Amino acid sequence: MMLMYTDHSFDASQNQPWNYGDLVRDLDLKPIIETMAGGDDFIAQVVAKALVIGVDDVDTILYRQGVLEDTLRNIDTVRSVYAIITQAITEGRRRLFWIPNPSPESVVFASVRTLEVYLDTLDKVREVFDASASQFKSAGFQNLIRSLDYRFDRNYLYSIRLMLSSLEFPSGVSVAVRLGDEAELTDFTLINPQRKRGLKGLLAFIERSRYTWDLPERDEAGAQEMGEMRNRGLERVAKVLRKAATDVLSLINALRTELAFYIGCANLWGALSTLGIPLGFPTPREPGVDTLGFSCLHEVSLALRMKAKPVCNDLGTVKKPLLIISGANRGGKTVYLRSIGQAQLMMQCGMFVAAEMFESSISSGVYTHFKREEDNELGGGKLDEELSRLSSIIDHVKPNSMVLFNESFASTNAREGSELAKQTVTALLERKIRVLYVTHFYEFPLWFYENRPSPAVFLVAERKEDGTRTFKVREGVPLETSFAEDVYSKIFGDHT
Amino acid sequence: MAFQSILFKDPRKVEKLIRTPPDFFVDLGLNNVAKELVKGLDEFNIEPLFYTPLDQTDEIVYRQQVFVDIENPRVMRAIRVFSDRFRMVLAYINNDRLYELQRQGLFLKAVNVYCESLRDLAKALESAGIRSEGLQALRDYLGNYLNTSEFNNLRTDAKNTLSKITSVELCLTIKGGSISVSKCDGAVDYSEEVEGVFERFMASGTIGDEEVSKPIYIRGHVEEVVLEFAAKLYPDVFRALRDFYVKHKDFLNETIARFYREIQFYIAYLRYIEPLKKSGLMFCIPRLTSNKGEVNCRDGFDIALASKLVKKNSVVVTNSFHLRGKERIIIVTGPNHGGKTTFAREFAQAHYLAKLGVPVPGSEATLFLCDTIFTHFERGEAVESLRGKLEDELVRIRNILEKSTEKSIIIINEMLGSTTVKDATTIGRRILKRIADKDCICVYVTFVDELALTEGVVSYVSQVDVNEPDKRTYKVIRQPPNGLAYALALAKKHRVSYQDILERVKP
Repeated sequence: MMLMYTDHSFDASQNQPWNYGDLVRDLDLKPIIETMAGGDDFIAQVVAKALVIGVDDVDTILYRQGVLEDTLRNIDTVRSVYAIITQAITEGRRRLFWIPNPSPESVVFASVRTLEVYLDTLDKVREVFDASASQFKSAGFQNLIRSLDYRFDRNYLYSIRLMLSSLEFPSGVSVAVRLGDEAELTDFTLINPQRKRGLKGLLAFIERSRYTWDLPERDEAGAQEMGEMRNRGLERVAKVLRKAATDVLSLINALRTELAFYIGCANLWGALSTLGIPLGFPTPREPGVDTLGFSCLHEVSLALRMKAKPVCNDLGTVKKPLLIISGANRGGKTVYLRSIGQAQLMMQCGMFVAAEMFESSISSGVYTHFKREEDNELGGGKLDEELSRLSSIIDHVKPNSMVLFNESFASTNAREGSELAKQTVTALLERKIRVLYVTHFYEFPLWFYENRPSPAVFLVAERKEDGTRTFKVREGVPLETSFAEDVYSKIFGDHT
Repeated sequence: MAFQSILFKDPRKVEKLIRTPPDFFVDLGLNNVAKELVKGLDEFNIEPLFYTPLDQTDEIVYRQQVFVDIENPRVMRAIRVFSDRFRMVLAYINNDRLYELQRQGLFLKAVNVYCESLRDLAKALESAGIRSEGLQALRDYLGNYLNTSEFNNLRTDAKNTLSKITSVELCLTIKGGSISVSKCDGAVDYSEEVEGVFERFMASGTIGDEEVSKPIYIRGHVEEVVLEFAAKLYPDVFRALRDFYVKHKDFLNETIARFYREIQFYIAYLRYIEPLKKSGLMFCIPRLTSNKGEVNCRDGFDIALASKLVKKNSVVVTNSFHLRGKERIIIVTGPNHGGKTTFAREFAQAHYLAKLGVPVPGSEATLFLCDTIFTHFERGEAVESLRGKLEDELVRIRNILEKSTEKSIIIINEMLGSTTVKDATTIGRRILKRIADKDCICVYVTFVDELALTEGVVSYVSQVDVNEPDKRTYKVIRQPPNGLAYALALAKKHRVSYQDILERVKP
């Protein structure tokens, strides 16, 4: 209902993107979605889609940011409208139900009921908004309020209610028919059930020859046939009423869906501010320039899981299509990669980010290719699986997409893995696809490093002189060795 | 000669139809073709036509000519329309579930449709420049029939009665379990009023039909009651309807009814090959020859497989074959799943279909008018030991050699798999010698390259793309056997090499 797009509503029935499972798993989106839902299943469903189905134009992102700001400012009003609608839908579900392939007659019946219930709801919603209209500054909310006022003004609602009562046909269904070319009854035309006759008309009506037949008891076939005759008379109005009822219902649902998204955002805002994490609205940059920069960016899920404020990272704004992150194992590389992926998704759905500053070019799709820890197959099968996942990504990426690799091709030896990585990344860059690659390979980063001018920014997981990790990632040259030995000695306690 | 049958030049043959499929039907995949061809046509019993090949060239040509005429879209459309309408007519007059007045009404409709369908068919045949003996005879027959006073009276009566019936208007009121019927007095359409009030909602798109189910039109006793009331309100109209019914009870012409049944054979076949043609595959009318050294087919394919593939939108590979001079035996070798069996089926199917008088796969074909086709395919089940398997195979090939004549076609698919290559070569050569002595045409699919080097045989080889050994081309080409097959597999399997990615991701 125009809170998420300037010209249409968010389609909550659309499919998750094909890689939804990968995104949730690789970017650890579950805690984010749960926190946004705050126990409301409907919000959970909506944000699970909205979060990953981002928009790819700056204007729409800014439009949503405006609505979100309004929501944060008027959270009580927004929650009460959401409550009115949720209650009406729950109530409506209990009283009305739509059967599949309904007959015109049952459509007329159900539509009349539906319209009676939900037009009342819209009436109430309009009143709540009208009372605090001046508090809403965003274009989104203003559009919504204006459209409710325009489409459902009191006079119009009154004339609809009047017609709805005559569509209950208290004096039977009257139709005009003709005989067709096989002497069948055809061209059923509904006649106004409450047509006023003048005196003359009344006399003609009484004098006219009229034959009447009563359905015998238990004549079920006859009852069905008569029912279908009524259906034929009602077909046209059934379509009109169904359209109206569907429209009103989808309006209600769309409003509920879009409010659910913003309430979800507000829930996350609340949870993160409690942890003292800096929040702010990101700056979306036009696609194509490969801009990326941030200060004190947090991995949101890590914070939510730890219920604390974790280490944050900075990146002075760069304009390169390739980020290679190498360095110490367990040095925070994955967290770093995730935090960028999360922020990119949050930015593109119109949300705030968990950073003091974040700017990035808009991507036409975010894809992840992470090493799967739990794949315990033998080497060959594992590489096969990795390549097949890569192939699915290749099926979908397009210029200006963003692909996050995490230790990809690590299932084979370093030389082969490096070669695969090199070929993959080179081809993706040629197709103007942004790549962020976490790796412990040496050859692969070095190749991009020595190829000047390099398309890449090189980052390393920081390690102090004494060997301890800070879990910070900084710009630096790719390191020669990984830190597997460190991890080993930490876990086993010696170097042998 | 007066028109009798569109299927047979000499219609006495109609009695000789074979009711069971030939032995080779399953091996050639033709059982599936026949099954699909006759789908929904049970009432016509056309299945035997596919089991009954024609042996006389003039009978084959009689059908081929009709197919050529029907290729003309105008003729095809006219015949399809005629067939659909005639089917309706039969359904109308055979409807026994109706009440009296309803039945009279439907009879009237049947006669009207019948008259129109005949006139339209005649008109189309007149103007379409048809060449076939069969359709020309039909056209002349129709021309005469439509000029008879019998037909013209029927048609005029039907039209007059119809215009009376369609002038009837009624007003029904249904309330609870009662229905009342009267004449109408210019009633106002209430639906329009409702649409007016809800106009605002109509702006954004229209409602889909699926959201309100279509009312079911039931012709039951309630309608009959309404018609009986209508007969009281409009007595003259219904008297005319009854008179028409009594007068024209036996209006169907038997010759035309037979044409309607027989033309289903052509319609069914063309309907079957239509999607194949749409996908770019070609069909042609073959020339039949008694000279084996003239056999030739360009761009042919396995019709059963093609039909399956086209449904899945997969690409169908075409293959050509020919025999020259004394050439009789084709040996097909090459990688597995490379299209060898398909090629053999293509060869045999073309020869069988040609004998049905129908178009065959290919852009151009000259085919041998064979007496029969023998197939020798591997049998999956039944035989346990290798020895038993070889025995079974050799018994079968012996029986085939006994029954075959110099006009037969023999298809052998992967025989001798249970022996060593050396033995398979020796035995295979002996069998080839026997076939050669018979002067039969034979297609022999085998993994034994050596057989393809036998003197006097023609070698066809299924192809592998050396750059993409995983991918099968299904192309079978006339060339010497090449032992290498597809040893160089692997790599690029997932299509994610540098080149692949560039190809798959559009800039």
